[in-house]
Formats: sequence, C-alpha cells, structure tokens
Amino acid sequence: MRLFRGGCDATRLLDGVEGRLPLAARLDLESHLTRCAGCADDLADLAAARLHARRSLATYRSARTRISPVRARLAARAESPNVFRRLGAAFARVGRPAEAVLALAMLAFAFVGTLGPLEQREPAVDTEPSVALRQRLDPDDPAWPVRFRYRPSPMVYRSDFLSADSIPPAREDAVDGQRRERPRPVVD
Amino acid sequence: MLSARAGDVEAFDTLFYRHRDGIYRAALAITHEQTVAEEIVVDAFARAYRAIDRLDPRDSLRPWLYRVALNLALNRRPRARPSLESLDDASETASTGEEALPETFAERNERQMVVLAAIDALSAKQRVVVILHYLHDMNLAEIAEIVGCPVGTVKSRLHYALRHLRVRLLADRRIDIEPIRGLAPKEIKE
Repeated sequence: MRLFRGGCDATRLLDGVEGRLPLAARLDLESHLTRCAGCADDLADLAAARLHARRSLATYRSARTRISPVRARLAARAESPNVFRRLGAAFARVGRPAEAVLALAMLAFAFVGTLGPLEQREPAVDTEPSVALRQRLDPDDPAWPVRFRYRPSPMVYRSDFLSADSIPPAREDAVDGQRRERPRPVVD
Repeated sequence: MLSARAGDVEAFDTLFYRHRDGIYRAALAITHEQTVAEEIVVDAFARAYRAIDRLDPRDSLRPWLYRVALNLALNRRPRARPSLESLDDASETASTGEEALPETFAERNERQMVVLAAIDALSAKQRVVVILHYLHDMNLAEIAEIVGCPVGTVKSRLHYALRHLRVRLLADRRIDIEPIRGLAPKEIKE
C-alpha cells in the first residue's frame, strides 16, 4: 500500500461513495484504493459523513403540513406587486442609507439644474368685465369706473379685481328720501 | 402548468398539493421552525401564483419553487436549535428491543442533534446541496437546475460539504464516528 498520494481524483471518490460509477471506473477506483492509503481514508470519511447526514436529515422526511392552497392565493392577492414597496426594499438593501440619500439628493439637484427656467404664466387679463362683474355695476352711475379701479396689469388677475370695491352703493336720490337698494340690472 | 397559467384554480391547487410537503421539508430543514416553514410555503406559492404568467409553461414549476423557497428560508435566520421529534413521535418510531431503551434513544437523539448542528454550520450553498441531495434524494442534475450552476459545481460543493461535515463531527467528542470502508453498491437508476 502506498502511504503518499499521487494521481488521485478526489471527485471520483464521491461518485464511488454514492454508487454512481460505472463498472470499469469502479474497478479502477477499487484497485487504486488498495494502493493509496490516503484515498482509502478519505473515502471512509466521506462515507461516514454521508451516512450521518442522511440519517440525521431523515428526521424531516416524515414532516407534513396541512396548509391550504387558499392561503397562498389569498396571500398572492393581498400582496399585489407594489412599485414603491419594491423600491423601498431595494433601498433597504443599500448598506449605507444616509449616504444613499445624499447621493440621490445630489443627483436630483443636478437633474433639476439642467432644466431651463419655467415659462412665465400668462396673466388672465380681460378687456371686458366678467358677467358676474357686469351684474354688479350700475351703468347709470357716473363714478363706477373710479370705484371699479380697473387697472389692467400683467400681474393683476380676474380674481384680484373681483375683490375690489366694485359694487356701487345704494342711490340716495330716492323719491321718498329713504335709502334703498336699487334693482340690479340683469344681463344675459 | 398550462391550466394554472390560464387561471384554473384547481390546476394551481393540484400543483400546490404536489409540491407542498417537499418545500415544507426543505424549509423546515433550514429554519427548524414549523411556523416559519409554513410561512415560507405560503410565500413561495403566493409568488408562484403571481408570477405564473411570466413562467415558461414548458418548464416544470418544481425548480423555480424550490429556488424561491430556499432563498426565503436562507434569508431567515434560525431562531432556535433544531427540534427533532416529539415524545409521541418517538414512541411510534422507537422499535422494540435495544432501540426502545431510553439511553439508546437519547444517544441517537444527541447524535442527530450534533450532525444537524454541523450541517447548519456549513455554508449556505453547501447546506442547500446537502439538504436537497440527502433529504429530497435529488440527483445532481436536478440540484444543478435548482441552484442554477453546472453539475460539476454541485458535485464539488457536495464533496467539500461532506469533508467539512466530517471534520466537524470528528472535532465533536460527544459522538463516535466509525469510518466506513469500501465502495457503495452501484446506484440503481429508475
């Protein structure tokens, strides 16, 4: 018997332990084992480890479960694929979240900086008063343009001059000398 | 698979019942917790239910399911040591004679505990190969399909896993391991 190794194929030992070798290779390995003490010891160790692994794992062979497939289907419907959840999970895998946040913020800042200035909004200036405003104006009142203070400007919007003092007060030239509201003109 | 892909609930249930226990055992062998293993089964099949439209109907669902379940199981850390079997199961499995002796049962139980702890100490890739090969009796080609690597790599992982296992078992003085001389008989292919 040879007490040192030479020309040994370690992977063939596993096949020999598992009984996967064809007949010719098996005979060849057996003849090698009679000459090589190291391979014979390796094979004995592998066979013992294999036997113990198989026996110990055999305790799980009888394991059964009674889970219903309904649970799986309900779980599948409950956990619909959510893009934000996946992004969150991917983000959670990053080892350094603070640095990742900073990097994302810098990227966003750089991206926004490449964009051009936003177009200025067109002012909503009407040359004609709106229907609601015309209903409040009295055409007989000579001072209504003064009260109205209609000053078209690029920064003045319709909502602004609607809040101006555009409602004329009640006329005081009533016949009976009492203040009363004049009927407002109805404009279609 | 085709029917399940078309939305047939009964076909999906058939797939579920076919692979349920195998996936449960694989998850249990890694996590050692029944509730966690059941959650993994539910989670794996829920993912299969959602992804069944994207899977190739010509392929078997089995490798995909095992891959998902094993990844889920490996991502969960074991919180308890392996619990082997209850006393009720022990009374059923213990045979008459020498096996029925309490000290024999305790010794066998301790040996199993040591070996399972040694298997847990293996790397994740080696552990998966050992569990699939020695618990599920899968051949190397099936394991290679599940873990997504060549057959030679699987064989190498199995070889080194047994070596590491042997070293760890020899270092543990609680059990005596006798080396086994001689080759195994030729495997009978079905």
